[in-house]
Amino acid sequence: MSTIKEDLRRRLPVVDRFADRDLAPYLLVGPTIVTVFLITIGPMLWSLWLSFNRWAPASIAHQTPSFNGGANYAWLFSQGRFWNSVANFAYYGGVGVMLQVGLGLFLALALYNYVDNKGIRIAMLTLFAVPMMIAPLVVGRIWQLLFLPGGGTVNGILGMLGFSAVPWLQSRWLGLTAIMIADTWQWVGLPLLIIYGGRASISDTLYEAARVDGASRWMQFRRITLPQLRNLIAIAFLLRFMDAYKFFDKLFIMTNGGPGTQTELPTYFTYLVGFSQFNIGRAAALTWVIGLGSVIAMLLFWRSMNTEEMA
Amino acid sequence: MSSDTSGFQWFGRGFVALYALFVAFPLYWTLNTALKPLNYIGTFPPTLYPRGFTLDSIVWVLTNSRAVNAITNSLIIASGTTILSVILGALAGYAFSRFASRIDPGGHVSFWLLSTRMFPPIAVVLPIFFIYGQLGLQDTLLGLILLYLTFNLPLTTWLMRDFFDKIPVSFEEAAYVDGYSRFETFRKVVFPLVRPGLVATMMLAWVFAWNEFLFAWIITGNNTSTITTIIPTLIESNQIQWNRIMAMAVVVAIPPTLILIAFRDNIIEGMTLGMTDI
Repeated sequence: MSTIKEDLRRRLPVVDRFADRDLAPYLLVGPTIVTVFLITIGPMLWSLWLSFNRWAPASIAHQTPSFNGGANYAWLFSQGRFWNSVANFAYYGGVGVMLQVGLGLFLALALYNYVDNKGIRIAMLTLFAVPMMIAPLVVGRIWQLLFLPGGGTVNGILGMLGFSAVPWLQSRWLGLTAIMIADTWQWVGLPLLIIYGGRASISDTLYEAARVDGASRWMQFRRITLPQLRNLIAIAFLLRFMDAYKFFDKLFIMTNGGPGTQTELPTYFTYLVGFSQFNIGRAAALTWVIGLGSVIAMLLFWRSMNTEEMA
Repeated sequence: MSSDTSGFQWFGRGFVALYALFVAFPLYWTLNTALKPLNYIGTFPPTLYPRGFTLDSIVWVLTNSRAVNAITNSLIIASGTTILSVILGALAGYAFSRFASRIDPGGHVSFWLLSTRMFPPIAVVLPIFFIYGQLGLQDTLLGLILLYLTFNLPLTTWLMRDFFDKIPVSFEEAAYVDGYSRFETFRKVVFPLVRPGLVATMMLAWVFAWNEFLFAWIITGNNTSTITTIIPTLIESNQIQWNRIMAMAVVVAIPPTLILIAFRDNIIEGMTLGMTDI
């Protein structure tokens, strides 16, 4: 079989057939590259320029952009509100993403190892994927109803069990925690599915060999499962982290950044500066700080993953 | 399995079952709230079943002109952007899969394409808002259709490349040997094989557009409100209409859920960017 294939390839390689002058590949990718440039890259480069300008279309004095050097950046780094939103992100993003990936890992392995019935496994995987398909804004609305301070379902159930009501959504850390719970409810499925797929592709012979050698359950997990799943766990982390700093919809609907400005996250703060205060230069500076900050964080994470692998 | 595993086994099973309950409960509660009259919502103790069962809220969503308008707009926007992004993305994905050595030797272009998704959406919509103002695209369906390409086009390109990669090149080579033209080869050999992947990609692009909120909130006005932009504003005479909001949530959530169930394997593969095959 393989000899026939190779023979064929030697005689009629596709690349030879369509010589280097062939324009087809460029015609195929061209429209996509041009579109992405027009609707993403181009506008973002313009916003990079705007971030060095004072531009507040709603005020008479700054109706058109005028260059002001790094003043927007200086302004935002001096804002307590900005650092407050960064601290909120550290909590929401840090704890939330770890929770989601950890829970996803545990559930995926439990499902794969301990649920023998394939039908039940598939049903569970599908159920865990359902929340991911629902609009984040709608999920926020649903959890807002569940977390309502008076008459909310969570407090209602806590009350039936004899606990006192918790003022969800009414203080900084409880508000962020409530949002984190809603987000975890929606997104555990992603790390779970990635890790489940990875676990399913680890060969059983590895575990059999380990059992023959008398390796304990913990040793099997530590020496086979974790190393084999390492990259997928890292990817799950990255994907969830990418969503975490973009996070907007649930915050918008559940706390609106409140009480006051206490639960604001960086993107929400940017939104208010841009579309409520109409201070476009400052908002542009914020988007670049968030964007570059996240890219740097991801690169550092990726590098630490790779060096660990070498060690 | 030896006997010491059974403790683990029951703990693992119990945890999965408990978590399944945790996932299912808010879904149930949404339905439960949508089917109750307003005066049974927010009572203590909560009514765990739809007491005073009524379809009024669901009927309201399907007849109220504002809600129907929003649903229609969302259908048009999601479908329009899906068609555009899948056509463009499939062409580009095919090229990235088959001619990678020529157009993208280091894999930089395709990665760079995907990395545009790493910037927060607010970074894109801020300049776009003013560009659209100049072009007269604010508050138009076309404006949102084009804007949604920012996240859907990299996704469809990436996924289609992945789905094309799974089709052996030798199939195409064999077709060329048989004298098929390039177009015939694509139509008769590649397309039938890639169709399930193409459908899943379409469905995912559609769901992401259907669910989007931030862009719609900023770009649209009264003419083009979408399902997500009217949900924050369903408040009448200072009272939040929870039953109508949850009825809206049910209506909004049904199409994506049906899509998930109907195309489960490919959707899951797509959601995980091609990493999971169940």
